[in-house]
Amino acid sequence: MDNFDKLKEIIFTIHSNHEVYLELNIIPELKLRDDLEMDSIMLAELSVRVEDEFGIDVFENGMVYTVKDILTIIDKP
Amino acid sequence: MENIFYKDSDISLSYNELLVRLNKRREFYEVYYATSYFDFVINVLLGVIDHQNFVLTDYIFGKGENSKPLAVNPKVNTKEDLIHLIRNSKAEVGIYSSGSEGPPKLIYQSIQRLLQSVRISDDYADSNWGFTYHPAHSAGIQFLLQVICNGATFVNLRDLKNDALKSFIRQSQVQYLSATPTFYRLLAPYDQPLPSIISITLNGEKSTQKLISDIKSLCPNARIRNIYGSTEAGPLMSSDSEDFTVPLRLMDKLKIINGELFFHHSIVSKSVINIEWYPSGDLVEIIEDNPLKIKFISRKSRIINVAGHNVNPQQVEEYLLKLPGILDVRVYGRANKITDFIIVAEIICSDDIIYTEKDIISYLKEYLPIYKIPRIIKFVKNIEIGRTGKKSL
Repeated sequence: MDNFDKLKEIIFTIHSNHEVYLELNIIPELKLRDDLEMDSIMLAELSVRVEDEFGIDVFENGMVYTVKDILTIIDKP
Repeated sequence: MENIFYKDSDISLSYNELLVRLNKRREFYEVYYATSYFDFVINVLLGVIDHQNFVLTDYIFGKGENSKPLAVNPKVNTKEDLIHLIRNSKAEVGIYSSGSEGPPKLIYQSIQRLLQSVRISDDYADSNWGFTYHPAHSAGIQFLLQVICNGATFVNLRDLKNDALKSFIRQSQVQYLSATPTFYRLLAPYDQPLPSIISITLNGEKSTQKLISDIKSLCPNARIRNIYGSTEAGPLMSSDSEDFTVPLRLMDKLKIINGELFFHHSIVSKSVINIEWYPSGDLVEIIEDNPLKIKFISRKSRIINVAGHNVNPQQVEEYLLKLPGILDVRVYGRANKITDFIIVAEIICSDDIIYTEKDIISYLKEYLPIYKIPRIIKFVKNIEIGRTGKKSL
């Protein structure tokens, strides 16, 4: 499973736990708030789950806006 | 032009419509589960103008049983009459505070006390105020009083997300905005200014200098006020940075003991106090001695701040332990850059029970508001015990 698949699984878990059902395929260009309908607490949960999986706080240097922004940070060597 | 009382992205209601709906009501409830925010406001106003005490619960929308109705017969002819009645109210409002330890406490604040921090000026008439708080928390009630006592417009921004939120702020020409630091963090990116905003208030959690600078660039025409207060003592100090200079009127009402801020009983709601100095649960650092300037560092108690809302983990633990097959639990906060903390739970289940994260979350949603729900649930075999003998945080 590559990093993108792992990230998609995290997003799916967050949506599923809170009964958010979106009819869309997750692609890197999607915006976290506007397209994936994440509110502040969902973004906070995303940040903690990503940190647990990848050991990186993706919000360390400010806000991130898209799935791609997160991938860029976690894929950085 | 008709004076608008309430506006959200779907509806707009005038002060005349507010008065018509208020005068039609014949029943007031001390504890009320409303069908909409507007319905909630009507019951609150009935209590306020009829001098009836009322209690606000975490869930205000249809999740419990109303108290016995009390017959009322309001006759409010004009907006000015309504303001006069509010300003002379003898009612008290009961709000659940997370407290510094133990289960949530019901604290009564008089409307008169809440009105002390309401600013009234001719400049505020016809102005637009952006609403972001939980309607049933003290900041939510104070906001309602602030708007009505000035005959201003209440612009409901709750539940709007980034692009739609900023666009509605622009479209509604919001001038006054009061919110938690979490709300302002989510306004990023700060590249397209919101010029209509002339006043910004930050409330409910610790702000940083970086956030205050970001808000200044987003709202170049705004004066920024960072407020410190508590449910028990109301708003106490304001500042334009992350440091607070203690005002003269509070010099003998605040004390710092081992880094924790204490309130003198004279500034704390009478329903919580029987000691001379009340522990705030907030740890502070002294920046300057004369005049006294302080900076807030963190919470001392187990209370967890989630996006400006205080969460008492003991309350969440009590609900979890009611589920069959749950042997032990530990609820704690996990730090993050967006909401300060989120709630995490560790659970030990008996061998014959299998729960999923979703099962636990769905169960808790029946009883607790969303910010109190653990976002991450770990099913474990052991729960760590700290050096004090308590479950470590």
